[in-house]
Amino acid sequence: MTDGAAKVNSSGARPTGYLVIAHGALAGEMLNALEFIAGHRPNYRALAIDHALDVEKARSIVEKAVDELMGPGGVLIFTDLFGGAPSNIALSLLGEKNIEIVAGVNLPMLLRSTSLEENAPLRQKAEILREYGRNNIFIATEILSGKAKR
Amino acid sequence: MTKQAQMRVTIKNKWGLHARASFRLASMAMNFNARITLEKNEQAADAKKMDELLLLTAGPGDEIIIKAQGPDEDLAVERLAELVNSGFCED
Repeated sequence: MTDGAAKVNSSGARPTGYLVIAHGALAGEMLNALEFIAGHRPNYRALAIDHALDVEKARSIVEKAVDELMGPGGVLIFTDLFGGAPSNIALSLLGEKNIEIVAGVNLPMLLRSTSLEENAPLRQKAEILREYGRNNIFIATEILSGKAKR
Repeated sequence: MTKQAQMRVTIKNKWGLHARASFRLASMAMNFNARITLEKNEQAADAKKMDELLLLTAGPGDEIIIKAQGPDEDLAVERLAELVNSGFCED
C-alpha cells in the first residue's frame, strides 16, 4: 500500500481505494491479472480470506486494509460472491466506513475501475462497475455470429 | 463531407489485439480529443473503449483501419498507427 490513495492529488481529485476480497487465491490472482494488463496499481489490494482464522480476526484484517486504502474518495470493495464469507465480512463494515461493495467481481469490471471519473461519488462508481461487469459477459458464438446484445 | 484522418495498418504482434494491447491502445486514444474508431471488416469499435476493441477479435495479420475526426485527428491516427506497427511494444 502506498500513500497515494489516501490523499487528494495535485489536480484536486478524490482518489478511491480498491480492495478485492475473495475465497482461496482468487483475489490475488485477479489483481495479478489486472496488473498484467493495466500495469501496477498502487491503490489496489487483494485479500484472501483464510477460513482457519476466526471471524473477528478476519474482520480486523479486512478493516485494516480498508483503513490503509481509505482516502477522500472512500474504498470500493469487490467480493467474489454475495453471501459468502468475504462478502459478509465486508458487509459488516458498512455504516462504519466510507465503503461500497460490489459482489460478483469479474476482470472486465476491475479493468473498468482503472478509468473511472475520480470525482464521481462512490455509489455511482459502484453502479457503473456493476453494469459494466454485467454487460461484458458474452456467449462467444453470439459474438462471432453478430447476434450479441450489448 | 466532413474531414477525417485515417490509416490502414496490419496487426503484427503474435497475440493480436488482446487485453494488454487493447488497454494500451484505449489508454493512448483517451489522450486525444478526436473521436477515434478502429474498423475491421466493416465492424467498428470506439478506440477509447477497451471492451469494444476486444470484440474486434483482431489477430496477427488482420488489417484494421484507424479513423479519427476532431481537432487532433492527424496526430491521433499517427500515434495509434505507430503503436500498432510497433506490435504494441510486445514482441
